[in-house]
Order: sequence, then structure tokens, then C-alpha cells
Amino acid sequence: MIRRVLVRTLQVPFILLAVYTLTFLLVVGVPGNPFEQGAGRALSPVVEQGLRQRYGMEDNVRFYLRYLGRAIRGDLGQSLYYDNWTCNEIIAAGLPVSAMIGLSALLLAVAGGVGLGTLGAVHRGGPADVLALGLSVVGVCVPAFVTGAVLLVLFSVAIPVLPVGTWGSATDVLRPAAALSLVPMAYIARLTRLGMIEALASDYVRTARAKGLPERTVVLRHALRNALLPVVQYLGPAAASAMTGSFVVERVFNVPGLGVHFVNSVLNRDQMLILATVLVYAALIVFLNLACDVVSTLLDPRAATAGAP
Amino acid sequence: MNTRRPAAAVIRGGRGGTSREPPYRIVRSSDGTARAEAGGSMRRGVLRVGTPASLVGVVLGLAALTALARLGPAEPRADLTVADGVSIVTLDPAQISWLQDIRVVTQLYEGLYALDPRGGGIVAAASERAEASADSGGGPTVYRFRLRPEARWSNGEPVSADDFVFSWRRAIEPGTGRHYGFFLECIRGVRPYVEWRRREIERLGRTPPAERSRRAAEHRSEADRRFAQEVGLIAENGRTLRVELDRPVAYFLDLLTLPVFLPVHRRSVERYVRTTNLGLVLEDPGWCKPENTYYNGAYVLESWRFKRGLRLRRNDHYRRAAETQIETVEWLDVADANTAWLMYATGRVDWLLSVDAPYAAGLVAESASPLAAAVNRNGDRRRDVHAVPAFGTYFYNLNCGARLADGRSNPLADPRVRRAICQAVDRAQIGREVTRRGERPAESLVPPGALRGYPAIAGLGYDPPAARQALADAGYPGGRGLPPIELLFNTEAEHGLIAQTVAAMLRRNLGVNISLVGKEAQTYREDKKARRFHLARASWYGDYDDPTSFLDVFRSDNGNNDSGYDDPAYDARLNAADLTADPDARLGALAECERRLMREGVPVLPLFHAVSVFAYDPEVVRGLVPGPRLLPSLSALEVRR
Repeated sequence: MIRRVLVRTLQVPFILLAVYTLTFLLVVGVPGNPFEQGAGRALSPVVEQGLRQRYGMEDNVRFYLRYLGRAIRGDLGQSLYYDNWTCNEIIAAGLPVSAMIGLSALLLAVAGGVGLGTLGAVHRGGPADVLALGLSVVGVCVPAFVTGAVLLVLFSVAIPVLPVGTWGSATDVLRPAAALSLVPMAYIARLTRLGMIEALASDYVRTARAKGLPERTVVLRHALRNALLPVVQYLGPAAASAMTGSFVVERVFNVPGLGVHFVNSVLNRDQMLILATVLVYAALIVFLNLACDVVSTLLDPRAATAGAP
Repeated sequence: MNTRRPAAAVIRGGRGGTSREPPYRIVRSSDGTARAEAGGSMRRGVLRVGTPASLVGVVLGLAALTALARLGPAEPRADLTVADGVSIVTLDPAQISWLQDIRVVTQLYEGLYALDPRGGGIVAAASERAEASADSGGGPTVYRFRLRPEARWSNGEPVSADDFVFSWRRAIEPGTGRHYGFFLECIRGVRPYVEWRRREIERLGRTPPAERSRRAAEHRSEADRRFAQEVGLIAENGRTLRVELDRPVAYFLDLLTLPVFLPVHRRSVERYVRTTNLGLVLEDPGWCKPENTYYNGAYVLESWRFKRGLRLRRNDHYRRAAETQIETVEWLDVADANTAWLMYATGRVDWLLSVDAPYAAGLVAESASPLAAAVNRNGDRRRDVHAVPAFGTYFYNLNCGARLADGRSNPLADPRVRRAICQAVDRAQIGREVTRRGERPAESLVPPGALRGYPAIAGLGYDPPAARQALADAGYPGGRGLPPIELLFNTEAEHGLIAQTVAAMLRRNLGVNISLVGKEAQTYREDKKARRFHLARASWYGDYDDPTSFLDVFRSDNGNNDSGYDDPAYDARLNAADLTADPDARLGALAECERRLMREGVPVLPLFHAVSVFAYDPEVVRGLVPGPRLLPSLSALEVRR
């Protein structure tokens, strides 16, 4: 396993370099001028040339190399749109906020999803299963902007217990996290249900039952453990995507997270911030996938050899 | 991707379950994993500390809780809470071009002149009244500003003429200047200086790197010398600033209210300056952060948290601090229009600076706004939604070039076709049925009534028979022979709905085939600049209180002339009118220019004059006079709860 982790770690710089290069090509390839942002006013060539020099973007080759060099040293550059902020500041301000909401959402999703999935599998075909499946279908189908808006109006206008658009107290995390948790919860519920059904039909569960273990122990200890493997595999990418926030949920709840920048940086052609957010996201995905692999191996030692060459 | 990985794991698990007994694997693995497995199976229950599944949960839970602790205590509510529907982009006066930034920065800095908070006109601010000296007739070209002795920075230092020279210079220098620097080009010597700088910087780029640093240093001292000698911007002493213009500019004092003319605190900004071996003087934009600089306006910036908002506190060194009622102001950054409205409606925000939610038209209809079309017809009016005419016009650029960007010939090059298009669009219907905020139908660029002494211009109104006749005269009777006309717009907000309405009117009244080209904002912008359109959506908001703020756009050499309107006679007439010495005669001559532009040249199809919607309870936020420039001064307000 150590060898596997080592190999995967060594791959990381190459993956990130590939991500950086592809993103860079897209960034300079799309139409639109990052400097022509001011309220419909034209920018004179003199001013634009000055700005390009200021940001080290006279030509694309120099820009590519310079940005790469700085990114390696941990400096993700100056935002071109939010002129007074560096990308590091923007990410440092947004990532903890998004991570907090994302992880809370994931916590809800795991608790709810595993519970629903297990319930569905154990009472397969019964009302509990129908309920679990129904809820997970709804969770996948209803987009976050609908759930978000409903939660916002429900708890601030219809039942005015929570404030709108504030960020600063623990209760402000609840609704964005709930809105974000539905999709992963539904997905986890389905994964758990499938894995559980398979596990419950397997030989070792029959053995466990045969030796007289109570049903509760059989289900929760023997079957669930194997059924959770796909869930753990899913958690890596899910955690990365949850931690980096959601454009819609952050907008609706006015949360100062990172998610809005993934969309807005592109709309604003803020080339520095696009590169910065993509690099951070890619790094998170790579490392969380790695972490998931390690956890899977701990859960099921077969995974250590199954995937290895 | 995501779905494949777990699926593979399921298969693996399944295969393992049937072909291999899990206990073998446990025995064979020698590390702690095996112990965890064996030990776990001996305990009862699940999801307690120790089993891997619960470990994941606990780790996630702890992470969430740690993060929760980072939220920190909430700040006490400010005297006034303001929200704008868009994010603050920058607080550097030289870089600013968005309205939301201008609104903040004019609370923090005070220029030589400022907009009168009582509405309409300008007042002397950091300076006493300017002394203007007449030159060769046609208006003054030299202004002398004496700064008020009580004009101070927030650290108590006096505001000096030198601060102004420094600030205005950084607004034109390559590297620190941006869109609005060109407003300083009316000052003597600015344009040649900037051109010379650009050429020298380019030349430095071509010199061998070994010599570049030395040459750059030489160039910079030469630049300082040239700026001092050739640019008509002189600090005669600590309190007197002399400005010499290239030509008389009738609205020069009005220009001084623009952010690009605001002063910044020289010594604190200079600490962030760095020079490059290309001769550029750059700044670390961190100087704008609250702890790094001082302010001479009514408020100081107490905190600025990215995407959350700003907190302003009364500047005790401000010359009129004693009259400033509101001590603390929270300026929230709210990106979503619906959330912003809910924050206002639930009392979190006292004053919403832009009501842009999809249901804004409904709110306006319920309001007691002064606009005739915006007044509620039911009688029970809400008193807190205020639709006010803005200093802006929504229009379509009509491509006047002989050919399109791709080489096709352009039927709109014929002014008769442009006139036909204008007369075939019923603008009143758009305001009534599409935008519905009380927008007035437009026949001109300058909104009628926005400028004192400037008449309403009668352009081309809705007249389908005349439109059909004009099209027939141009050789396209009933639209026959006319290629499909492309209407370019950006897909945000209501632009699509308006475009569909206009297209339907043109089809119905002229028999023209319209193809709608909706694009994402930046792509649209690039297409518009490259003139890849027949008709393109646009709008223009005046920068200063003078018709030239609109009329200059259609000069043949103006960078914002997206219609490609090229009429030397218009340029000449505009020049002559602009230089008329008598103010009333000048406005009359400019009105004549606009009338001819709208009736004969027709580079645009004006649709409606823009409306802004504010929300505030006039019993709570008192003293507010919403003017067309939409730039309130907080120091003139009072809050009563």
C-alpha cells in the first residue's frame, strides 16, 4: 500500500501540470478581453498595454511560464477583475467558508444517505424502500436553486426564524448545507442500497446469520461494512466538489464562499482567478481521491492489490 | 467518472464475497488494518468510534465543527445598512468604472468639486470656489483651486495640492491608469506625455536586458521632468493647484466629481510603489485595504471583507464631521437580486440601492413613484419603493459601416434603412409590456429633463407607414431583397425579451427577416467591438452633467462608437457647438447636433430611458434626494428608527 500511495503522490505534479496547461489553453483561447471590463467603456491601447505589462501578460508564452513559476511558489497571482485582491486572498477568504458548508453538507449526506440506503435494502420492496428511493430521486432531480430558494423563503418569510443573507453565526450554515446535501445524500442512499442488497445476499452474511448473530449485528456490522466501500470511493470527489462550494447555493444564501468564483471568474475573463480556482480544485480532487484510496484500503485490504499493477 | 469508480468497487466487493473468503484476506494482511477488522467484529453495534465508517463521519464532523469555530462573533449592527445588488470591484479611484464602486468611493474621498447632495448641480468640496481665467475667448482654460484649510486626511494631515497632482498622474500613467484616465486628456500636455511614455516603454522592451535597468531609471527621471514641465497640472504651493487645459471645457468643474479626479493619500500609496525595468511605475493594490491608507471624505473605511461587505465609520477629521449624522455604515455585498430584496424586506437592510429582482416591475407598480407609468393604479401604494429616472438610455447600435466584419455588404449603411428601422419600433410598448418599471420611450440619447436648460429632442417616433416608405425608397419595398438582419444581444436580464419584441415589430411592420443572436456577455462585447452585427444591444449612462457625455460617443474617432458612425460634418458641428462661449447658446447648438444625429444620421435606435429602483423607508432614511446620477452622499442623511 505504501508503494501505491508513493506512486500516486509522484503522479500529482504531472496531473496538476496537465490541468494547468489545458486550463491555460482554454483561458487564452476563449473570446473576450480580461481588461475591457469597465462599465461599457472602451480601453485605449496605451492603457491596455500598461495593464498587460503590470500583470506580466505581454504574450501568452511568458504569461504561461511566469504564472507557473509563481504558482509553484504558492503565489496564485493578482485577480484581474477584483483589482485590490490577490487570488490567494480570495481563495483564503472563500475556501474555509465553502469547506465548512460543504463538509457539513457531506456529513448530512452520509448520515442521511447511509441510513436511507440501509433501510431500503433491509426492507427491500417495502414502504421504507419506496420512501428511500423516492426521496433519493427527488434529491437528485430538484436543483439546488429551487431547494435553496424554498428554504430561504420558508424559514425567513413564511416562518421568520432565520435571517436572510447573513454570514457569521452557526445557524447560517444550516440551510446552505441542507440545500447542498440533497444530491450527494440521494447518491449515497442509492449506492448504499445497492451495495447492501448485494452484501445481504452474500455467503459471509449467511454464515453470520447461521452462527446465530442478531440481525442488527449482521446488518450493521457485517453487511454495511462492505456495502460502504463504494460510498467511500464516492466521498473523495464528492468532498472536493462540496468543499469548493456551489455557485447557486452561495448566491441564494449570500454566502461569501469560493463557488461563485468558478463561474464569475470565467464570466469576467479573470484569467488569473480562473487558473487559481481550477488549480486549487484540481489539487483538492487529487489529494482527496488519494485519501479515499487509503481509507478504502483500510476498509478492504483487497483493494490494495486489486487496483495495483 | 464519479459513477464508474464506485461501480467498479461494487463488482470487486461482489467478486470477493463469492470467490474469496474475507477472513483469508484479513489474516494475510499484516498491518493495523487487520487488527481493526478483527477487533471490530468482536464488539456489538456499529457506527461507534473505532469502526472505519464512523471514523469517516467523525473526521468530517470534527472538520465541520472546527470550521464552525472560525465564524467568529458577529459585529454590532451599524446605524445604517446599505446593500447594492452587485459586488464591489475596486476602491482605487484611478481604476474605478462601476457605479457600485463609485458610490462607495465618493463617501471615502472628496474631490475638488462634488455633486450637490440636495440634488442637481455641483458644489465646491475640498477646494474653495475655483478661479477661472479666460484665455482666448470660448471659455476659461486655466483654473486655480485653493484647497480649504480645513480639508484634512483622516490622520489629521492637511490635504495638499501635491496629493492631487500625484493622484491625477497615477490615473494617466500606463500600469496604474484605466478606462477613465482619458478624461484627463483635456489637460494641457497629457496626451503627448502619455504617448511619449508608451513609445519609450516599448523601446525599453527592445533594449538588451543588461542595459534595461539603467535605461529605465533614466527614462523615469526624464518622465518626472517632462510631467513637471509639459503637463498643465501644477501645485503652486501646498494649498493651490493650477490646472491648464488644452481647450475650454465647459463642463470641466463637473468632470471633477468623477472618481478619477479624487485625491489619494500620497505618502501611504507611495509605500506600495515598485518600478520595473520597463519604466513602469506599478503599485501593490494592497494599499486600498483599510489599514493601509487615509481618507479625506466623510467616512473612513473601517473594514473590507471580500464578498461580504464594507464597514464605514464617520471621519472625525472631515471638514463637516459635525454635520454628519450617521456614524457607522454597513455596506453589504449581495450578489443575488432576490436575496437582496428579501434582506431588505425582512429588515436586515435599510436601503437597497438596486431593486433588480424579477418581480421588481410588480413592486414598482405598487409604489408611489413619481414616474407616471410607475404609479400604482389600485390606490394602495407602498411608500418605500422608489423608481427614479436614471441618466442613461437603452438603445440598439445600428451598424453604419459599408461592410460587415466578414465582408458582406451592409444594407444598414444606407441611412434610409436605419430610419425605417427606427420608425418601425413602438418603444412605448416595450416600456409598458416588457420592462414595466416606468421607463419612458426614447427618441433621443440624452434623457429629457436630466440636464437643466437642455431641451427634449424629438427624434424619429413610431410611424410604420413612414418606415415602409423609407425602406421602399432604399430599394427594399416590403422588405424584399433585404438579407436577414442580425440582432446581437447579451443573454442576461431582459435583453432577450426586448430583442424578441423588437424583432417581432420589425417583422410585422417592415417584412424584414430578423435573426436573433444571443451571446454570453464577453463574447457579445467582442462581437460588438468588431462590428459583427446589424443591430446590437447597448446602453449608455452619462458620466457628467453635459450633453457631450452622450454626444461625443458618436464622434468618428471615439472608442465607444460601436455603430461605426463616421460623419465629419457631425464632428465639426459638435466641436463648434462645444466651444460656444455662451452657456445657453452652447446647449442650444448641442441640441441641434443631437436632433440631426437622431433624425438624419441615425446611428442608433433609442428604445427607452433607464430607470433605477431604490428601496428605503423615507421615515427611516431621511434627507435622501435620489438624483439621476444615483450617487447619494451619506453625510447628508439621517436615520431614525
